[in-house]
Amino acid sequence: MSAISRDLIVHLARLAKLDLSEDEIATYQRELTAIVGFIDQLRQADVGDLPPTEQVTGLQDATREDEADERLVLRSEDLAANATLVDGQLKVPRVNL
Amino acid sequence: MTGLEQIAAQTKAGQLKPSQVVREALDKAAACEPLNIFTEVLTDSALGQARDLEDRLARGEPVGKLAGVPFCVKDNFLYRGTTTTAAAPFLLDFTAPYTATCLKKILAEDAILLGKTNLDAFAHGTSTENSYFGPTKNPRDPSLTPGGSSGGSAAAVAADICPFALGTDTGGSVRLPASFCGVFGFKPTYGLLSRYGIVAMASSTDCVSPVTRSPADAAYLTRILAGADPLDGTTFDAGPDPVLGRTPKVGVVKEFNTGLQPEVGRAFEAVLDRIKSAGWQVSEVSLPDIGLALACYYVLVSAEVSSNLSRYDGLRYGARGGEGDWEAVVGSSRAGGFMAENKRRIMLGTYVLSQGYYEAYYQQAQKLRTLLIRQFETAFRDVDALLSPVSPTTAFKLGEKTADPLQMYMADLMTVAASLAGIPAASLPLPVSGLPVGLQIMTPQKTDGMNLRLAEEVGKLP
Repeated sequence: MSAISRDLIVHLARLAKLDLSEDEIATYQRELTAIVGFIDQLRQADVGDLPPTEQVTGLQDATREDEADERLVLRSEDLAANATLVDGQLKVPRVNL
Repeated sequence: MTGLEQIAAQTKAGQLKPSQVVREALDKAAACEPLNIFTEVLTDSALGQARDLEDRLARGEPVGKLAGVPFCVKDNFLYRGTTTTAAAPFLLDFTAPYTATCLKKILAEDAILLGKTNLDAFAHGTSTENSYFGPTKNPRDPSLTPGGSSGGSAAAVAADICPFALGTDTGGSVRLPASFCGVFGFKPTYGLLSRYGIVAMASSTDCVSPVTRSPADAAYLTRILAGADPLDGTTFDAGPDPVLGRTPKVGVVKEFNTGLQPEVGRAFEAVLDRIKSAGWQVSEVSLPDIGLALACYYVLVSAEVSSNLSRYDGLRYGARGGEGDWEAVVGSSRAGGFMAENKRRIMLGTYVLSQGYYEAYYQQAQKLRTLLIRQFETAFRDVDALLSPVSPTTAFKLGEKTADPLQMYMADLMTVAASLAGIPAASLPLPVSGLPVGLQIMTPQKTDGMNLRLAEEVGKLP
């Protein structure tokens, strides 16, 4: 069925924002061809009009009051523990369009 | 009284001294260093917790249900102020800003955290060989893998370092290492235990899962851990436990009673014989499409993985690679931060979600998931529990499957279906003379107590 082309690997890597070396592209092309070859068997399953399952809890509308919850507030010292802040803010690279 | 209850009782009665228990556990951990079980041993913190507990006991203050019990957690649990690495380059220096709810609950009962255990990076794997820190070795035979991805947690209990550990099971990641290491592992109903503070892998199947020495200990822990968490919208409060009140009826999954390594087949037949001798009704049950569960799992889980791992961009936390604009920094951060298996799953997930492939793969898999759930429901109308081996083989050799990702995925052949259906599944070590073999016991959603009682009964059969 679907052979995974080199171009497809390059395309997927770009979508997933993964920089890959030439060696990696070749390796993943080989491996993903085998993996996709395996998962292709599910395309024969007779699932017809069955509804898709998104989640298995059956829960719906798990909401809370729109009030600030202290437990969910990230303190600036926690942010600073994992990033270098400039004037208390995260400095990120420019997005070139 | 369960083993864990006993330790807590002896601690309260002054028969066990927490700092001595912890010191012994830490010594044992150090002696097991060649097994590479821990990503971090929290020596000072553990001894500090022990001393605090002793002070409180001396003052006659009330203490928790796990007082003085040493334990460890897989290094994908966040513990505020300490490092959570998920065994991946991305998070080697990541300091957790909050504590996982399940970890918080255990600590609130005065158990003592020894350290964080090794895992496949981001929990992607079936052998713990995908860890940045190298593999954990099976305590039963160090030339073998302990299984994965919670290999460190299973090994810690198997090596007698501590009487329980917490891991996560997304497609078999506690059941498989429990089976390979000869200890008890339990994946609860999805949503019973909070996932808050767990590094997410596949959000619709990830389950916090205990590794213990016995089903009774797992039941004790599950009761402590269960409960709706406002910080995890997929959790619920368990209702009263259904009690069977009669001799159990069990079904052997026909499709999983084939292609087994001879030792596994023999151990499985032997336990079925013991179950029949005990007067239980044993029948063969077919789940016609369960053979497609592995393919279904890898489509859905890799899709969810590709989404969950998109947060790792090196900008707000995690190892930042390279210079340049946003694309360059993110691309190089992700190139350096992930192990090969992580990249493989991200790309597979991207593929099945991408335009032109979405209907054929992702939607098809979602519908197949519904079909599998319905086949389980049909089966459970006739039997109380479904049985199978946990895996077709015993623990395989380190390096045996690392060159073939697909072979590695096959280890989860029998465990993924229960994950897709969100049903409870136990891995019970069977009495064997050779390498450990686990029996898988699957029961309907929200029958966790019944599942564990059945496991206990099977474990006690003559």
